[in-house]
Amino acid sequence: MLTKFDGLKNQDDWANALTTLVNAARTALATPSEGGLTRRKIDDLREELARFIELSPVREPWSTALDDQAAAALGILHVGLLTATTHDLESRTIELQRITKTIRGLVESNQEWVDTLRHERLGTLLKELANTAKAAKDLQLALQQGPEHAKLTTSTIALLRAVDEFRESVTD
Amino acid sequence: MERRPLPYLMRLLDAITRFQTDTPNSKRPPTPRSSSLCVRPRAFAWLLTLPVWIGCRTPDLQPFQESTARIHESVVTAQDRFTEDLNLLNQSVSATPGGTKRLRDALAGFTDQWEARTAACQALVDYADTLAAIAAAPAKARQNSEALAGSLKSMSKAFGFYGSALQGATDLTVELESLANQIRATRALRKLVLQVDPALQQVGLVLNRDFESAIETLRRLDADLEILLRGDHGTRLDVRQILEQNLKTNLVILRREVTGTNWVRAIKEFTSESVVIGKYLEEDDRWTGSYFRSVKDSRARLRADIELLGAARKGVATWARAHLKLVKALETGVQPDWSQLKRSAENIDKAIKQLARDAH
Repeated sequence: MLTKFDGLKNQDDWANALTTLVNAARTALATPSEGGLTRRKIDDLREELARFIELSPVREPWSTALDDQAAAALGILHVGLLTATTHDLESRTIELQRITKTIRGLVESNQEWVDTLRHERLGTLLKELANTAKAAKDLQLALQQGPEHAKLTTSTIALLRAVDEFRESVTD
Repeated sequence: MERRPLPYLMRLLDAITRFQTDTPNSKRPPTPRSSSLCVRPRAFAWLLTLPVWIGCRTPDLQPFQESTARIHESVVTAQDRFTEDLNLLNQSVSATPGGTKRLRDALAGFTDQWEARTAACQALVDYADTLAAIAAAPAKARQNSEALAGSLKSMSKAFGFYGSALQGATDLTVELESLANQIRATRALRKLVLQVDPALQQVGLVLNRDFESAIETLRRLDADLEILLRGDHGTRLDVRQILEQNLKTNLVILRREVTGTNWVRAIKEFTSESVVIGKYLEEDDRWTGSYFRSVKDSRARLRADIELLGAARKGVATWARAHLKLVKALETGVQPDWSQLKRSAENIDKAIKQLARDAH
């Protein structure tokens, strides 16, 4: 506490007390220090300026002008608090940007995988279906000794052609 | 005649085995194919694990996706609101030379730093979208497969007995492929959430401290609001204070005198002075009324913003915990419980909607 309000008797006392507070505010704002420490100093000064305005002799005509100056100093202290908040954020920003980059990288590589899954599966299924048709042909060849041999072979060839055409159309 | 044991089914099983062992972006060279069951033991090994994989389902990630979007929204809204709130200082700092510029520079500095928070949250939104896309990919792939299978089955009707076999194989292909996709998606999800979790927990901690810092700044502003907004109302406010003090003093005198012999005079004096003061204050309301309204409105706004930041801060903490639950859920195969996360997202949503209503 910089000010002993009980001891302030006249205009000069109050004006000097305010000057002391404003100078202390200037020093607090100009001195680079840890964010927490600056904020604590500013908080102490805020409290004193508010108390100054509350206790200044309202019936004295000069008190309003002093209160206005105290209010202006309080405003500047709040700007100092905003700057301290910004410094506090800044102390974590580089780390946050590094993390963001990591997450973005992982997201991009996995997004590519999702797209691959959707499209690759389509091609894979077609390939498997073509294999299935070939398997039908293998079965047919294994059972060649039948009266309908020629018909089955024709059908298998037709199926293979249809699947190939179908695949081509989807690939296009 | 020697019959080969269902070569097409073997090929399907082989294909599924390959799917199962694949991982996203795998660079592994293709496995040489063989049609013999004896030299394809992995096909059987896969069959042994089939009951486990049958229960494999990707979790519902929509609540996580939505809550991430809400947090992003709160971070964007917080920046705008915080900047506007700090502009309340304009009136006070304009009395100091260079004060307005100082405030403008400080706000620009804050906005620059907050941009990094917005960017981080956008990355998290993209991450949540990707998780949801991975979880949904098997279902989408199945739709494609079913459409293709339908076409092939239509064609296979012309094959009589062999056509039926082909239809069966097609159904089996779709089922096994769908299962393989579920497995791949679950593995991809597990891998991704495990990779991202440490970074995400770190973002949670950073945002938590950022929100706390912003809340503290607004609380201080709230505490000093009457002084910061007094502007050129100082003289009138002082006169009001004197008159209000006079009224209080007169009331004390009245209470003391009313029990004495001069009580009639005491009441008259109190009444006449009160009437004069009352008239002055009523007249003065036209001037200082705007000040009191401004203090009231600004205070309501600041408190709503503090509430939003508080909801966002809690939301971020819940959201980080929910991600940990997701890690566990993917390890155990149990669907994560999103109820708490949904409540947090609702609270943020409510706070933002309230701000929008207040703005109108």
